[in-house]
Amino acid sequence: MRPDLDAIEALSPEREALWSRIDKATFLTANEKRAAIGYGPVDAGDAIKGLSDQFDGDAAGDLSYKYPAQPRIPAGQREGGQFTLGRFRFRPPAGPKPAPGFGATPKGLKFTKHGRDQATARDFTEQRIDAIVENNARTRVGKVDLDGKKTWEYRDTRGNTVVLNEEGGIVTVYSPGPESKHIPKP
Amino acid sequence: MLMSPDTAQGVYAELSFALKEGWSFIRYPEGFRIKPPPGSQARADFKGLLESEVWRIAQFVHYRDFVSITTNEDGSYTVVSKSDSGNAFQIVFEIE
Repeated sequence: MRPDLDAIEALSPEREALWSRIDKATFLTANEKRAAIGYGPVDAGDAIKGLSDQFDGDAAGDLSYKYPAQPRIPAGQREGGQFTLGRFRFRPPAGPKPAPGFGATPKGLKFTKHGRDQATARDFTEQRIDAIVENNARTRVGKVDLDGKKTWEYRDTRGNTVVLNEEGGIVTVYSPGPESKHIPKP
Repeated sequence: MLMSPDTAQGVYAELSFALKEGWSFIRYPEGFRIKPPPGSQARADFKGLLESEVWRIAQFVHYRDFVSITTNEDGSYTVVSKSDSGNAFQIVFEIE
């Protein structure tokens, strides 16, 4: 149990003087000021107001957009990757997480490593792959590979082909064109 | 240089499409072995036929980062291809 020092009238002049000094201390964080007068910490109370105002924004995430070159705490250390400026620590905003593995198309088809390599080399963009699969689903051809695994081939009228595995992963892409590159519409 | 499962599946699908009728292939840990149609070795133009098929298939299946074609002592060919991401495979074109 702790007494409420602000409620004790005899201590009033000293408490007022303390509050005044604390309030003027620009080198303290809000939480340090609160601790000095016997209050507990609050969220986002670790920033120094005078300096944080220089960054033109209260939201910690703003910094990652306005100051992309802001130094970060090195990876491997506690809180590694967060933005830092002396005592500042800003966590970048939570954006969409990258798909695990080798990425995915907008429709959610995940690349195998081979599929990603060949799609890049052969100019099969993610949008083109989605379109080939979506527009040729009714004529897809099922095959079984050497390991007995099923694959599905989606082929458009120009011969651009996307091969998917049973999980919907992109096994490979190719066309009958030069170096198997995607054949665009004439 | 072992071939990864997803490379094996991908190259298998590509060879299945690209190889001409009569040519066959099997898989082994590093890649694939391709055999010409039975009896084709007796043709006078077999060497040219084989070379042209080696070149055509290598162009079709290779990773863009690296590809090599080697003539072996026995007259067979070995195609090796690698990607910067670490994928790799090889294809041996056998002559018998």
